[in-house]
Amino acid sequence: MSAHPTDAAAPEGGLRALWASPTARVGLGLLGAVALLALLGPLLLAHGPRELVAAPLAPPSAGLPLGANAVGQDLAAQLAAGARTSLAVALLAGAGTVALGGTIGLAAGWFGGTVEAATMRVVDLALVVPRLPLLVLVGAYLGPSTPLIAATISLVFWPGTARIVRAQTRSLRTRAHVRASRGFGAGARHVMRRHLLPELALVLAAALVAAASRAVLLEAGLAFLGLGDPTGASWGRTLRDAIEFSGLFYTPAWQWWLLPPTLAISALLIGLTLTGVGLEGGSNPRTSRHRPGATP
Amino acid sequence: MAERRRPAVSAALSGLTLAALVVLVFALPRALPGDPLAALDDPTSGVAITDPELRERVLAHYGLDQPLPEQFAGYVGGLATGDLGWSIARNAPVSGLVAAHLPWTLLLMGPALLLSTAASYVLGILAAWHRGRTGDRVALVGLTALRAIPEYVLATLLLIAFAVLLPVLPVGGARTPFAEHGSGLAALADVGAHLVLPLATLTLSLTATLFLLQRHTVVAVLGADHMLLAEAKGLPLRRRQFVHAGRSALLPLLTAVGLQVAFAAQGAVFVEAVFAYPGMGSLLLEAVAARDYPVLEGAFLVLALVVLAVNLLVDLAARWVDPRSAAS
Amino acid sequence: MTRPTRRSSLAGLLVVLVVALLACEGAVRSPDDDATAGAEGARIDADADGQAAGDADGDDVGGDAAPARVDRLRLAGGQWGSPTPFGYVRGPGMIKAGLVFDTLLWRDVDGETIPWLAESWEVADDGLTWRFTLREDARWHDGEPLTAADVVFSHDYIAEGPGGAAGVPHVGRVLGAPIAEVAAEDERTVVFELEEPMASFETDVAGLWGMLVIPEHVWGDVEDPARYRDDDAFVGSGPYRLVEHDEAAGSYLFEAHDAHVLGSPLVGEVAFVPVDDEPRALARGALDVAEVALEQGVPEAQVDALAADFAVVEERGQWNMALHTNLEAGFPFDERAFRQALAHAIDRADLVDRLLLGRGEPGSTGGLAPANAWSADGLPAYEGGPEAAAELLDGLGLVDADGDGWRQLPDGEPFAIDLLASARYDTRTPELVAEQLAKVGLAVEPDVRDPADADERARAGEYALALIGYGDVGADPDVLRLRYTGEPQAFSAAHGFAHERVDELAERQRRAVDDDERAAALDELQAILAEELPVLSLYVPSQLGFFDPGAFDAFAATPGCPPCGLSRNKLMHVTGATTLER
Repeated sequence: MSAHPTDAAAPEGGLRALWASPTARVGLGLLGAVALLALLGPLLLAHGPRELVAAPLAPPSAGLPLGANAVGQDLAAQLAAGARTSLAVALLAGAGTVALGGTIGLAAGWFGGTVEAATMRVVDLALVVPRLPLLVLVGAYLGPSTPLIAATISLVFWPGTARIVRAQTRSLRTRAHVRASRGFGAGARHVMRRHLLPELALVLAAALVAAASRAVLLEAGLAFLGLGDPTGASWGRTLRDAIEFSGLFYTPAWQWWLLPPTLAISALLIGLTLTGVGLEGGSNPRTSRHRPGATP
Repeated sequence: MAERRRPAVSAALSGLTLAALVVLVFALPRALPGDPLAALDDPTSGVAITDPELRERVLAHYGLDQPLPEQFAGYVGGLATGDLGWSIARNAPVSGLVAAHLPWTLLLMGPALLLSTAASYVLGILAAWHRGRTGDRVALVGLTALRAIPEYVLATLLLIAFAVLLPVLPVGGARTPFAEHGSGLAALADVGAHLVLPLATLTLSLTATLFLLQRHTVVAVLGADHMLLAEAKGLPLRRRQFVHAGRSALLPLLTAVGLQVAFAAQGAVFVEAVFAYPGMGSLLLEAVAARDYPVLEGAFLVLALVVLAVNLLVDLAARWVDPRSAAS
Repeated sequence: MTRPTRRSSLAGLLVVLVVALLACEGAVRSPDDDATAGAEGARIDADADGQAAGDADGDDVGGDAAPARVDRLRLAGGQWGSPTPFGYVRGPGMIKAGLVFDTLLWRDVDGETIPWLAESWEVADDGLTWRFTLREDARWHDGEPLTAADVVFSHDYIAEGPGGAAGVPHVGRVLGAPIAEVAAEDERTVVFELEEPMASFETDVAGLWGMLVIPEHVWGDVEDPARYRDDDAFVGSGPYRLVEHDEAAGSYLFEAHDAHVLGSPLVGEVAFVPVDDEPRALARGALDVAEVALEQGVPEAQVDALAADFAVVEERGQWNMALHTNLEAGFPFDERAFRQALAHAIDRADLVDRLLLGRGEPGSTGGLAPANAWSADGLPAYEGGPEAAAELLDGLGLVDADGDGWRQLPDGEPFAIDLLASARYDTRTPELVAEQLAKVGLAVEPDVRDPADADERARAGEYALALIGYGDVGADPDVLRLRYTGEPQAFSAAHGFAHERVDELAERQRRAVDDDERAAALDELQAILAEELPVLSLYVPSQLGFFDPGAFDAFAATPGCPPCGLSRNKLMHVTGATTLER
């Protein structure tokens, strides 16, 4: 966003409204908790995620808050290390997806005509590109590190965002007030900033949340399929180890092996979603003015 | 819309898309590191092709000894005659494999998409309308929490709950093998019983995603002029909810559904893996792992065409829903 | 359903762990105590949905009672191709094709070669001429007589015909054998003339892994055998015929061919049912036997729970995870002392305890599974621990000069290398190995890659250290020749290891005409390998299975046949016993 006085108002109002919304505060709180786990966890815990520190399937104890997995690794250490991976993937992949998909979708929806047709063909193609081999390809060539997985996820997800943004832009462009602005001779840049971006902010925020959440899920899914970073700690990898352990539900170990990473993923995703929901109130003043639920 | 005015351009672009796709499914698998003949090795049994001469003969058998342009020509030529080639890892015709796996995927995906679209349409509108109230919060938190569980964990938990702890549903597969059913109805019931858990998992996770989007977009249109107008005109609540608000929010929802097709097609991989469901997802995943070029080429192309076709349908539906977006 | 089971000296191989002390109704089968298992098993009902109508009526009073017919035995399925001689896929596919197609000889669970299509066979003193006499009245499923000409055709179809282009295991074995000529002496006698003696001939050509005999009247004019799927393609001479095959699901149904040359098979139908988790499917009554996957640690709680309802069988394993050192990677990998230091530093018993939860054993340093009958005794085990490793590393000049806890190369350069591993297997194995090596100051970082990528790198030798898993350590010891001599061809081959004496001994054991000569060569060969350690076998998981003894109870592992598992040697299905009375 530029320092232009008219558009500076929207995001600032958005942030204020965001903090005012209890939903968003819960969301931000959850995100903060995961961030704390990621930042402080490895400092507070005595062991690394790979170290063999206990007997197989050791239950939680003072030194091992979340017990040990089947080979005797500290599951709390794995949870903390996994938080770093998941947060990094969420941030990098979310931002990458919105930057790529938002720009392309906006351009297609705004310019229409040949630009739109051509970009949408690319989108069509990108949407049907076999994704799994793409991920395996990049992973196998470059070594499946977290930033690369995030980049690959962006490459995989941008077409979806581009489509949604294009559809919304096209719809908005045809709305009366935009037509009117153009009719009065307002420049494209002005219309885009004054009318489109504020309205699109909602869609973009939703896309960001969606992309970040999906990235977290996909990273965990890739790890489950053995296509993630197999040597780094990640929640998906801990889950995979747990689920592939066929005796899991015969021992109480599932409580400290399967549940914590599942709950951690849930906390992160719920945090993202609630923050996204909170964004609504701030970025669309008309919906906050007009509350249909309040009218009988 | 550009397509309407210039059908020739549109057709050319579609043709170009297809051509690019054909090149892509040929090139992408071959760019992967790994050897397709390694699929014939069997580390578990300790079997491997150790004779270089045999290796040459097997390569020649699959046409992999030829230069890439000739392999490509062979592939395109095969496509033209409907021959998708022969799987190396499965030792079976690719068309037969696709024919055997695709119906299960369609059986899983079709109902999952329809059910989740309908559920999220209704739930999304109701939640947005009653934004901030208890019902909305329950739905929001519940579905967000649901969506926040990875599919394979959800699938595993459902499997443990309904097939192990409470053994009412089968543990996996698409039907009871070699069961002799008294009637067609019993066979259908068997297929249905096997479908319940995979379908439930996929529908739940798709609904959670689509619901949030639907709620978002309905919230956004609630303050729109036509909604205010409808309210001012004193139109009935249900009509305002499901026709006016719903219709405006249908466009993004449909777009999202179009996207879900591609994701569900491969996202179902997790569900298929947990329930040993013999769909396209498991076929493709195994083909990637085995570098089974013919299967990758054939199955990806078929799947891509399905996704393209559904997207086309969604596009048409979107134009029907919101003619303004097509009129400019 | 008990019967006397002959146990040879190899009976020591069969170790059954008993875990059912608390499980009163549980049945635990032990090879030393078959009678108990049968009696216990009889008290257990056939599985819940009654599909496996195994005879569980407890009327089997003595070992002499004829085994009752088992209607259907359900085993775990999978996508292993079409059970034609050239349409199957890998080891498990070969087992299925083997139900329909026979070989001249077969193998029992003691590892003994037994007659099959051939009723007798003899080898000349020079080891070059093998003469087989076919059983009388051997017939194809379509009623045509099976003759020596069919055997000759089966060989020639691979060696000279189109069969040789099929990438299935038995084709490779036949092509790799030094066979000069195969000829029919009369209707029932077939003679193989070799160019040089071949110690593994019984296994790799005539037996278990060898040539499936195919009918000339069907395959005579088939040009593309792998793709031939007409009804005729399934006409074999085996004990079973294919009834149904669902390619997508991976299910197969075979029914007994009552006119089989060995008599009507005991198991009426062998069904391969696709399942995701075998113990879970067994507990739900969808399977009659569940085999635990390789590397799958099974907690006691699970064994106890399953033992309450099922019998348990545990046997020593045939698959191993091995640490390969590529000697071409230069210093210090080409130093024997370095490789020995690795062996001291890695606590292999701890790997067994953690990765397999104790259900397995450390590998033998000689390169064969400890349970392999050819495995040498008295090899060094390298149990010196970190101290012994440190001493050897110090001696090589790999010291921690800067005191950061990590050793450097003698020139002061840091020593930090990747450990290649495949995501096909437990990805914690490389972590555990790296952790153990870190304790002696060696900085090793796991480099886990997707299976195809890892296999290709292993085959090409693109590694310094690699963890590679394979199942031929229980097989015919000729695998040592393939692994350690000649140009590396397979993913399991040692890279950069050249040793004249090893080459010599490998050739000698290959051509050995009698077992003593072969054993002497193999013992010396393994002693050298245990000293040189180009490959360090880390652990060998046990083969663990659970089964419903009411349905069928003749389960045992077959030495040298990993895909046979505990339940898929067709001998069991045909006779209901684990060996064939000769």
